[in-house]
Formats: sequence, C-alpha cells, structure tokens
Amino acid sequence: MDSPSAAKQKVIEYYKLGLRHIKLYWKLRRPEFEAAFETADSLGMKVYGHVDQNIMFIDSTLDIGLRNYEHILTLVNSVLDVQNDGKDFSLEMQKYYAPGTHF
Amino acid sequence: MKLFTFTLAFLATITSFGQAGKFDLVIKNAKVFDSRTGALSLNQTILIKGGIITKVTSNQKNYSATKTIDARGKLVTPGFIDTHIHPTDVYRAYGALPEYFQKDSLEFYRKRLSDTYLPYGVTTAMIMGQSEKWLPPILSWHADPQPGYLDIYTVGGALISNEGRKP
Repeated sequence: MDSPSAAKQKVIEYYKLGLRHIKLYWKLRRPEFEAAFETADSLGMKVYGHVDQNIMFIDSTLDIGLRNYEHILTLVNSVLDVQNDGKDFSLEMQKYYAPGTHF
Repeated sequence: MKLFTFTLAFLATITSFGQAGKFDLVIKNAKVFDSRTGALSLNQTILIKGGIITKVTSNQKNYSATKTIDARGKLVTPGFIDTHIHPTDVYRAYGALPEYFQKDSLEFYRKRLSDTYLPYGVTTAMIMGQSEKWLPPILSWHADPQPGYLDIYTVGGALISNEGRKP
C-alpha cells in the first residue's frame, strides 16, 4: 500500500470479489488504516483489527471507529510502551517481589 | 393380471405411506443443548428433512428416516463456529505451503481444511488472513457450502503499508 487511495481501491476490489469481512493488520500505517476502515465500513463490511507492535494503538483505532479486536493480548502494547514503561515495570516488580523483600 | 394389478396397487400404497413423514435423518436419544436458554433436555429426538431441523421432540416413537443415529444419551449441540483460523496452520502440517492451490487438487485442499475442524464439532470457520493467491478457491468454497465440508467465511490478504514510501 503506497497511499490511502491504494488501500481504498484494494478494499473495493475485495468487496467486488464477494468478500464481506476484512481484517486490518498492524502493518498498515494510520492513513491507510483509516482509508481502509472507512471504505469497508461504508460498504457494510465487517471489520476486524489486529493492532500490535506499537504501530497503531487502540485509542486511535477506537477513534477511527474499529470495534472488533482480534489477538486481544497484543492490546497490552496500547497501554504499555515496552521501550519506556518496561524498565519502570521491572523496577516495580523487583521492589515488591524480588527475593528477600518483606512487606 | 388381476394379481399383477393388485400387487402394483399394493406397492404404490407402500411407497406413498413410506414417503409421508419420512425424514432424511433422525437422531434419537439425544441430550440437546438449547443455545438460547442454556438448558439441557434429555432423551430428545431430532427430526431433519431437506437440511432443516423440522422438530426436536421428546416423543420416543420410531420415526421413519433414510438414516437414524442413536446418540445414546450423548450431547447434541448446534455446530460450533471458530471465529479465527488460518489455513496456513492447516496446510503447513502437511509440508511446504503451496504458492497456489493446483486446480486438480482443490477438493483435496477443501477436504483437509474440513477434516481439521469437523471432528471437533466446528462446522463454520472464519479465515482471518491468508495469501491473496489462495482467495479464488476459498471464495468458491464460501459460495458453495456442502454438507460434508466446513462452512467458510474469509477476509482478504494482509494489507501492508509500504514503509519505504515518502509520507
């Protein structure tokens, strides 16, 4: 997908082939994700998302209108940014659960 | 001649009696799960004709049917629906994945997919992604559901943004 209009064309092509379901995958960037969602939704297709890998987050996909989510475990990435929050998270775990801690 | 006519009339009567109320399939002694109420009913008889369940009854009489299955008290439920499958997972178990399904092997591929799910009671599955090159046969299966095969719904191939492009 080189552009939102390419994403739109692809969804229309799928619709014409007889597809009525579409899964939007995390490898779509926001402009294409949005175009694909809006096209599919306007055609009455059922849209599912695999939101993952910190490319798209659930708050933005909810804004776009996506309501069905597959691979719910990967949604953790939407609230936990592994790069930044990961370190804080392990420090917290160490503080409370490391061997020898009492409270 | 008289005997012949009589015999003919007799056979015709038998046939017409046989036709009346004859079901394609009867499942007797079934424990039936009602998915609307969550209730279980014991010793039910399920009457099926023309692919449609015409009645579920506690009447234990012997219904005439092309085929009768004695469930012997086992649970009978509507077919399960698997909402997320990938055909790659099925075909990979048999070796390297084909780029395309060969035309003369389409039934074979359809059967492998069905054989993977039907034994578990899954009669409908939703394909959540596969190669776009596999779409034409899969769409043809979707358009032509068969009693012995898995019912299929599908999405298309994965749409991927070109990461190298200028925004």
